[in-house]
Amino acid sequence: MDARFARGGRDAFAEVYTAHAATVRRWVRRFFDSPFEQEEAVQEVWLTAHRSQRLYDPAKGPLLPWLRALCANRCRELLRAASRRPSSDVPVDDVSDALWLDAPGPDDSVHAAALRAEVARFAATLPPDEARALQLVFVEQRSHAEVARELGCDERRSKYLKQKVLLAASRDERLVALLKESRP
Amino acid sequence: MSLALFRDRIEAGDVDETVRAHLRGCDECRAHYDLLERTARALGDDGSARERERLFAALPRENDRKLLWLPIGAVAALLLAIVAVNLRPREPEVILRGTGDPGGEAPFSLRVYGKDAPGQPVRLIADFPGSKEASVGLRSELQYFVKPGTTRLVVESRGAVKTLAARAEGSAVDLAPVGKPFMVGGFGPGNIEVCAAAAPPGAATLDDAVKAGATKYCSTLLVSP
Repeated sequence: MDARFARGGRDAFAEVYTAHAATVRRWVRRFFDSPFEQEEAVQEVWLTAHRSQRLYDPAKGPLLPWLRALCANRCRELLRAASRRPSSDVPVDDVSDALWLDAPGPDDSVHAAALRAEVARFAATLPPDEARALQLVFVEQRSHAEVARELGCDERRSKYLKQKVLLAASRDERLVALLKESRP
Repeated sequence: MSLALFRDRIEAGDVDETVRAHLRGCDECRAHYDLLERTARALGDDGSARERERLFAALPRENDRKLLWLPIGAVAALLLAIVAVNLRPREPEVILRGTGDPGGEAPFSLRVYGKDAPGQPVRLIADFPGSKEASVGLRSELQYFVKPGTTRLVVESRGAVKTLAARAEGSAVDLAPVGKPFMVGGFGPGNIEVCAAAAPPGAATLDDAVKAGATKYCSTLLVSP
């Protein structure tokens, strides 16, 4: 896959993206707190990777460390462009990046478990069709067409249910308090 | 005010590049977007499908054979143009009004007033076209004014993702507003080219004004993040 990526082309890029998208997303989240900024940075990282595709030389090492260095450099550039300093836990050199970016946060598993419990409590407060929509749209990531078939409604209703559940969740005080406690 | 404009689209998940450009410059809307996004992630949607869709839409297309012919076509057209120009009999030089570099002083002044960020005091930022450039921040909110206010004016502001057209119809005041206030962040990354021309009656756009013989004056808003 690394050699194919180096030869360029959209298919090879797509293959690498599919394999490493979640990893890049996790790296970027270490640099930015805001989900919007994370999305912008992820887009920038991958567009830079696409432009630099032919600069990658498989003879010099595997793709993932190359991608990690590219990601860390691009994130630092974006922070500098916004006249911001990285938070104090961001390492200053490339060697430390590997350890820092790939290490799990200390409270990740505890927080995730608490969040799952809180989402389950929230889901139990919903009417049946909204609870089912939550499961299909958010958890199972089904398309609106599939959700509409499953619920016996049209796609417009599926979109409405998604929006309604999301807004209700964003106004649930206990859930929002937990979301604010740490980076999701 | 900003959140009221974009709330519906953010809540409906209708977040295209125009909304994203606004989010870059509007803290209030970004905070609202971030809350919904964190909530969606907690519910199980990690945003990967939207991320993929947005990324691949932004990638340059390849294997598009039409694109391969573009450079060849451009070179052929250029060669033909050179041959045609050289074969044409010489004519007396004609100066086309409205299309060349404006030599004289503009008959109007396009004042740019604005706030550096929401809640900040309003200040004079530039006096175009006399000052060719002015610096503004991505979070700035601006409004154009024309002096003398009797001038009928068309202004076009062109950024990376948006072009905004504004007009002044001419009024009996010294300084008249041209269009409504706007956010710099809405134009996307990069600088904004601001072109203005005194509009003859019937000219609805800048192009119309230039075609009717008006001179176009351009300046640049240098946008810093």
